[in-house]
Amino acid sequence: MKIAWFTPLNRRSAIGQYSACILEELVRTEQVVVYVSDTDQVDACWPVDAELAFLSKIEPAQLSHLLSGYDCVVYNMGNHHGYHGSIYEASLKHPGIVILHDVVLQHFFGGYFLELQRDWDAYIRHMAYAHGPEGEQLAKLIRAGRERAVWDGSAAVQYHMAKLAVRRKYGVIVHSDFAKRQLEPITAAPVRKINFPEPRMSKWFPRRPFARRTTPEDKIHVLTFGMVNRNKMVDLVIETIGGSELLRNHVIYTVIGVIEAGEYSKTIAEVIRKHDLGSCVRLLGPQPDEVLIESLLTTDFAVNLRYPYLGESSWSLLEALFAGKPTIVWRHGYYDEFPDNVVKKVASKDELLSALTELCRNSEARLAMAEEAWSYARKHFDTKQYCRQLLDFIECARLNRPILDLVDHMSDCLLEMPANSESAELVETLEREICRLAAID
Amino acid sequence: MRISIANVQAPFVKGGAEYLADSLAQKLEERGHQVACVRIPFKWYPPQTILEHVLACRMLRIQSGNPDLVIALKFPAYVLPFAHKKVWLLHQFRQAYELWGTPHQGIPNTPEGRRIRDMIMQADNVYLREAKEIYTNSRIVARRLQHYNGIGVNGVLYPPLLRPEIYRCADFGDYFFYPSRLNSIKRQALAIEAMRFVKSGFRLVLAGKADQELYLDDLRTLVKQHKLEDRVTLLGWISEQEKADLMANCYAALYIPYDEDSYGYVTLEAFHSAKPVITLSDSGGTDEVIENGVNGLILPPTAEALAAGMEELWSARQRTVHMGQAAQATLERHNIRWDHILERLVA
Repeated sequence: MKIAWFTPLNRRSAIGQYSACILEELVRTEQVVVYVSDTDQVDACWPVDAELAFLSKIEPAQLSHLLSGYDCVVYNMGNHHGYHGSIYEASLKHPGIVILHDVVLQHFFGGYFLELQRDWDAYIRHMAYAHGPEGEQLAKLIRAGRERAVWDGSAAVQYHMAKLAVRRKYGVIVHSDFAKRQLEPITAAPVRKINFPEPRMSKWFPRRPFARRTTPEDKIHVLTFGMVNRNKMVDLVIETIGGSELLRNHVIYTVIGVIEAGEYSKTIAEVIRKHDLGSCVRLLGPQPDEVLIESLLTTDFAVNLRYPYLGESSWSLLEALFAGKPTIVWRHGYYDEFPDNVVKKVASKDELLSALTELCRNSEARLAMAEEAWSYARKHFDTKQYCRQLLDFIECARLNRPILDLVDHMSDCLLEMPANSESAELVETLEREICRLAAID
Repeated sequence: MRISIANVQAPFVKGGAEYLADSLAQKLEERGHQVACVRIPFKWYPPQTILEHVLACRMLRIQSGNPDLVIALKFPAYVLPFAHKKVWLLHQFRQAYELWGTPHQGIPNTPEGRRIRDMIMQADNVYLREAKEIYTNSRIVARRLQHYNGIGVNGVLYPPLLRPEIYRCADFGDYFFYPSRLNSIKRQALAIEAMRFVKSGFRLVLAGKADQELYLDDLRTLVKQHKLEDRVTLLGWISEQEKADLMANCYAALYIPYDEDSYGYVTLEAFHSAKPVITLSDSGGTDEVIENGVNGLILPPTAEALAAGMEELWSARQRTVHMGQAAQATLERHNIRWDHILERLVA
């Protein structure tokens, strides 16, 4: 099969890393061209054994022509408007299958319409499309400065705007049951959950789970890694450590990854200062893979929190599980889909304190969870299996394409007319006839 | 009675189906009916377009003018919703049926293509059943409808010519005549290939407009390549009268399409002119009226066999004349008359 694979591929993009991982396997059986959205430098990309086409170097008219030559176009969509803006634009012009790495795309669309396009009207129009009059009203209030921007708060979960990302798609792939449940009501396309592939990094991890036995006097190493923003709750972890004498005395908390500039960076610095934790909290910033791997191998457990939950699936959690590390997660969405003996789930500051304390004190508990995590990850996350399911889904989704293309075309015609509430009978007739043609009851 | 004839029309293409619709309209008017021909534009490429046309036809409302009866002829015109609809079925969309799996398939064998094929079949399964009565123009179309869709028909109505009186027998000249649209499915190229193997002095005359210029270029190249310029004539489009005159003076006619639905107007024109017709064993509906050795020849589909068949007729003039007379008698035997057709369609 000839596949066009749209993705960011720079080495700071987790989706780029995911793509590199998939492509390593996919190119063994399929003809794949990778359309890179975020860089035009081969050296900046994760290494992949496939032809690269840089979107910034392709004229839009030429792109349409190029894409018509593929059996399937796959779009990877995430929340970074810089990485995914051009992917979104291509996906509107040429139908394909979307792999949604985030369900809550308010941050992407806020950035896309207001920072890239500088077009409030477009943002309002698209909020109306995705969330009806309520969404439209909210967007108008934000423009008037009478409401807080949706992408900054938990309202993003309600006004996720994912409906825009599944438009003109004849298949949607997600990595969690949560995401599947969220998306199925807003698209006519089939939605398939496929478990993540095995991270490339896992080849550096032990062939058997390993957990250090410690004495009560030993320091315990705790690690959080990946992009750090308010949503990752690093400040809460530091606050919790600072509030417990046991944790203050025994924990070395390491944070690896870019810390979002601005307010949140200041918040973290203030919490460290407040509890005088300068000697036991280490903010290392972005680090090369070798350092991250070493840190993962030597840490006693990991903390991987998200709040509010924005519908994503965590690549970093997977890396920790493959490394055989017990991991504390927030009890919701994707994280709650793991068995209780594989990850340690919390849902409040008190539960976080209990979890940190238990994993700190009890090396037997750490060892037991490390073994479960190590085995579970290897049993459920497999790249070959991922590609098999991906190809199977593409084949099934392509069967639906003629129907969905027909629906899209009719929708365009109705919009052009434009159809309104008086056109309800026409719309119903069209719907009935399309269902009859497609043999849908 | 007010009668609408619903047909599809590929703009700028006029073939047997369009001719039949016009003929039917004229014959209905001659009998005092008010007739409106509804021609719906049809485009079948890329294949997704087919579904859009089915849906478009389905959304049409043909009730204006209060017709008492709609007679629909071809896919997808027959999906038009109308309470008193009869279908005289000339064509399903053959690429989804018996042409699937052949070089004439047209729809790609991909998941998308297979789904489009399913939906075309589904349209036939659902919408043809709405018709009050279904007739076909040949037994082969009726058999196909039964085989693929499980739909039985009320009868076969063989289409007659509009003006049979202009066809006559004047002479048995020195050429075999093949008038038809120039199209790869009509296999004019095979007829030219056959002339390479002919030793006798007769000629081949081809007449008709090319559906695609490319095919006409191919035919010209073929003639030149085999140095047949003196023996093969490509006339292009000719008038009805010119065709009748050429048929009147030809030695015999050829009609060698690939898997045609019906016997084809060429066969009728030749029979009315008392000329035998050569066809091929895979030409489809032609064998419904052509009997091998009686009113024509049915040959294996190769250039060599076709050449041998023409030589066989050429060397037996008296037999050819008798076969022509038998051909004329065939028309009566099969009840190929407008009166018969209108009785069934308008009853």
